[in-house]
Amino acid sequence: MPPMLKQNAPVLEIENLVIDFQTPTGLFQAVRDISFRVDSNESVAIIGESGSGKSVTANAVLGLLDCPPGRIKSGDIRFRGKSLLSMPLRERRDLYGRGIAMVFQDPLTHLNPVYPVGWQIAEVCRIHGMPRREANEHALELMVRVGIVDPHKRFSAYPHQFSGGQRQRIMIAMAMAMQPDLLIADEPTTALDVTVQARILALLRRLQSETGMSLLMITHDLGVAADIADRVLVMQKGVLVEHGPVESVFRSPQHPYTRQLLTDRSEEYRSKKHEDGEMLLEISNLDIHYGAHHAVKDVGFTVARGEIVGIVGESGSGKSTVASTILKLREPSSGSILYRGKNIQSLSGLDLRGYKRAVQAVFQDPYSSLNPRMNVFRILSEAWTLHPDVLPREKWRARAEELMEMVGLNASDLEKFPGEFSGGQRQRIAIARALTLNPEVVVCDEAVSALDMTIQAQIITLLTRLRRELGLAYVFIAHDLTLVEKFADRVLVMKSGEIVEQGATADVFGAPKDDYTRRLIAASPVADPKLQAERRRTLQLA
Amino acid sequence: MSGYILRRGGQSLVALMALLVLVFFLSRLTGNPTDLYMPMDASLDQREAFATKHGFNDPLYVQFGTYLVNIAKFDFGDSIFQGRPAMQAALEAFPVTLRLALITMVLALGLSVLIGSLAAYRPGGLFDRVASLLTISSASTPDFWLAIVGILIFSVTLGWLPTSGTGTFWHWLLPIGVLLVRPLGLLTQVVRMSMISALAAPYVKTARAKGAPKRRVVFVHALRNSMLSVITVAGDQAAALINGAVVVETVFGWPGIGNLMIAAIKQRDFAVLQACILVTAVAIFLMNILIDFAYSRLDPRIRG
Repeated sequence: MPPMLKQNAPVLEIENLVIDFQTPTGLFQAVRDISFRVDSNESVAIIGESGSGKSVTANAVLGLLDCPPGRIKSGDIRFRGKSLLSMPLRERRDLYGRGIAMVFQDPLTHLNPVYPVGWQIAEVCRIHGMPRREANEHALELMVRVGIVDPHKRFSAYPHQFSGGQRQRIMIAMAMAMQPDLLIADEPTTALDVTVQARILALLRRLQSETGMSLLMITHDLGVAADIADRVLVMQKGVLVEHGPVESVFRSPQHPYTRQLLTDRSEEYRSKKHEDGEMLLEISNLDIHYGAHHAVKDVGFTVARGEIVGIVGESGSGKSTVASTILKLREPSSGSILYRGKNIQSLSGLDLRGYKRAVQAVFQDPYSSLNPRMNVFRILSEAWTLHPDVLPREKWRARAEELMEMVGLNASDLEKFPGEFSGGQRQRIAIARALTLNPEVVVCDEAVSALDMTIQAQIITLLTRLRRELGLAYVFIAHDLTLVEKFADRVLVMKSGEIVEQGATADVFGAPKDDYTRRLIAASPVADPKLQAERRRTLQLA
Repeated sequence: MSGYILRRGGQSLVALMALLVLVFFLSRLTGNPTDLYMPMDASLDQREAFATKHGFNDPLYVQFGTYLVNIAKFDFGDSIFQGRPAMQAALEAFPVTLRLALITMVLALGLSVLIGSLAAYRPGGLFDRVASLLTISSASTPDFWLAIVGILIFSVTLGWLPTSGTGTFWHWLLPIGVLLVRPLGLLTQVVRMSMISALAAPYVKTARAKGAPKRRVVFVHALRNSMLSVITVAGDQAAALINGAVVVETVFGWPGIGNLMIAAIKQRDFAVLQACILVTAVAIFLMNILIDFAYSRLDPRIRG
């Protein structure tokens, strides 16, 4: 029952919007004079990196900016021709949830933990005047519509009792409750696994075709934009640098920033294929139990000097458990890990210290994995305190400065604290810290997943350079298949604790043997609208 | 739930036993009650007779044995001063204290939720700053001083309220007013802090995006999430009140359990002291179960 499609009737118009933020260091212009429109039944994606102003713009439409420190300095936001900014608050509130609705990135924190999900969906209807009974019935219908299994039973369940994908379905049900004309989705699939992401994107597309609503999607994932959008807007540092139909922007980007985003760096990453180095780690028949849960089943692989072994798989597949076992943060239930032919479980004394030096780690979250109360010099030199024989104290300063320069930071930053750095810089510090003990293997557990694309590219370039210069080997764990495809020499695909497939990267991605690998690759969207549309069709047929 | 209550009951029973042992020996350290009970001019024989009759001459371990055996029989001994079962005296005084504590806590909770939420809505605003100043001073005012000043102003100078005792509605005002001050200050600050963090939570943003009016955002979405830490502190405060607001009850001559306990200590009326401690300990144990129950009602994540 799609309503009449008034072609080219603008649902949302943004005109010369300027948004300021008052920060401790002065005024910061988050959005600088941007204008765009979203027509009815149209999908528009805003792409850009964190700090580009894309989320601020979306939040401004729904009046969700925190004012202060935020302030809409000038410009206008019009919904169906009416200015939202000059509308009385009561009238605006009436539009929120009814005319315009929003889906957020992290459904766990954006759902209220203490109310049942059915109640939260029905609340939208009740706020907009529907009687309780009718609202509850409507909420049930919505849960069916977004694909929640057994909705009658799940109606009174709480957010923490759902999986990430189901939570996002509930957020979407909530947003769809009053059949909005415009749905704003702010990174709706960023926190989800690729196969779940593909299903959520399919759901959004289906709902859009059923209702004829417009979709404004905020994303940093070019593949997602290519998959869902009719038009894309590219934002950089608060400025709208490029916009146009998705095919033309992706095929022939005009602005250098867009071009930079779309550059394929696989050649650069694999500039030097590793020669067969000596064997460092041999992992065989690894089994790990958590109580009754069998987290890792019969996993075996090897890591040679200078080799990059990628491990891909969805959350809960056991990738990180394997990593922490290699790091000796956790003991395996059975199986062995040999380091230069010696079992690491039987290592002791000097040998054990030697192993702990040889294998270092870089973790996902550069915000929580660095102690905020230590300055960078202390963070780096802490390892030398624990391993005093590596470096005499008088050489600490010089070595720390050298490491900082090696990872592309200034030696003068050693006195600063982690809070003074950006996410990418912090990850560089984490890498420098991993290098303090001259390791042979660095375990990178989702080390670039939290970073923006260009920052990600910089870190990967850095890792590649360090491998070339220092002969490092990496165990590179990621859920981003495209990244692993470009970066790793060999790849393991994990599912429910087992390795379903492993081999040279080109073989696994080029001709996947396992059904799960094929599904995983198919679900991962590519940054090419035409190719992506084709893939979607074949996926639907299959 | 019942398994849980049983487990908690078992743990509390052990703690209670330890407490009873401790109280028994500590109270005997204060000296022999005979000296206090008998008149100054009582003869040595009379004193001996009294001590023997009440078992004060037996070795300590014999007294302790009798004490434990009697407790097992739910016999908590007689008050030597009141000449009636000690437990009876304690159970008579306890409801008086409980009523005072209950009214105070209900008022403190209600007011602190209201003031704290309003202050949290605009942190740093005028209302917040005034409320913060008042709550900090009220949380740090000593109650004995406030009680005396209260009597001086409202009873002595103005003559509006009675100085002590019970009986009419007016007798309640000063004790409740004095007792209210500290929990109100503390709780308001806790409500304010947890409301500020709740109001910054992402789910509040969702509620606003739904078109929910301000009142609903604050009192439906944020408040319930912030109640967990409030209840923890409230439980702590309530325990102090149930224990007998000793100072306030003494100042106002309030016939509650705190007053009774002080009197029992002064008179070395051991049986009464032990009965009072037992009663309040059981009451606090029951209250903790109530608090755990409230937790699980408020936060489904705890229910598991």
